[in-house]
Amino acid sequence: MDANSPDPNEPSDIALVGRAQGGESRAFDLLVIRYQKRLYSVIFQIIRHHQDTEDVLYQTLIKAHDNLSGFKGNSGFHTWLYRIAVNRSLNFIRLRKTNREMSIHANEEGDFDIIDEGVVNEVEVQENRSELQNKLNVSLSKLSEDHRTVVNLFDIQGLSHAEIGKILGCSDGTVRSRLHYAHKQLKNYLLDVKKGDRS
Amino acid sequence: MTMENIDSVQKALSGLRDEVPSDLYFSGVLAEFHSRQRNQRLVPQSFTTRLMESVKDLWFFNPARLVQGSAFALILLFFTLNGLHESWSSNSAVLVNWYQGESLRLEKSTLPEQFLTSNGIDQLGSSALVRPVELAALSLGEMGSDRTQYVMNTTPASYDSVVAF
Repeated sequence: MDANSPDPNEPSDIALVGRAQGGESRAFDLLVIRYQKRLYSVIFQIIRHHQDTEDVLYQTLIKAHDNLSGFKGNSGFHTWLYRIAVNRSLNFIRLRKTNREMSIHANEEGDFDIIDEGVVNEVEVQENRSELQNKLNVSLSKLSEDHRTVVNLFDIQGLSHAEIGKILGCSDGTVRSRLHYAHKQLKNYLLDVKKGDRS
Repeated sequence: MTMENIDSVQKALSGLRDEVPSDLYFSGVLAEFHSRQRNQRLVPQSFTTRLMESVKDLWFFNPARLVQGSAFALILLFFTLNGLHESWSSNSAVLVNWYQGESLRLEKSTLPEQFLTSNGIDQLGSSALVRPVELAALSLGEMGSDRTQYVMNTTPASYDSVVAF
């Protein structure tokens, strides 16, 4: 089911949000069921770790529920929800980066060992991917945080430039420019991977 | 990279959307969400934790924007202070001119024009535009507070070889 065209027999996002804002908890549950997979995918493409994705997913849902009264309908509900998810995920990876740097520092001092769960997790999910998708994931991981996020929202999640602009809090032009640069980079990385395979 | 390749890359990219666990996993999400929501409500949060939670998503808590904002504030502060300093300096000059004004006007009217380009005035640090009012401002620090001393302290006309009477 696409975010922009729900089943006509089902209530629209706006109707469900209105009911949830009126105190009907079942209405919010229906929104959770509607968006759980897509939210998981958005978060996972940023965090790349299932356990952490799960935590951020629940944080996102709780935050959305607690702040539902603040949703005025200026943008689509899914845009608003994705914005919370993306912000939470980006905050999470920034925090993880800091913690990892601290862990490496601690390890140098011989305090404890690092267990890179991200790598362990990577092995588990790779089985279901095509060879090209594996290469894409390697190439995507080389992109900067900003570029990876626009590729995630545009190419993977299928959102429009305007929606991405609203989610990231930047203009359409900025989204297009980041996307252009990200595609260029991605193409170069893929060519490098291909060359590496040949040699 | 050919068009065919680009198509396959785009297909592969959109295929990454399906990198999610099985439907069985999602059947438990709602229950887990309710459970975590209940637990969060049960745990009493400190004031600091609640404050941090409420401001966590604000734009200025983004580290990059925080740095940009701080830099902008510093630049603004620099220009404000600089502007205030210049304004204070020009006010001081006006005050000095006002303070010296009366006697200097008298001096100008009593001194010959040549006096203004004499060696005595060169010693005060200016040989070009040497109106008495500017000299007063230049020599205020050296001459002290006695206004008449300025005129008396310049090279006496009788000793000055340049100035001829």
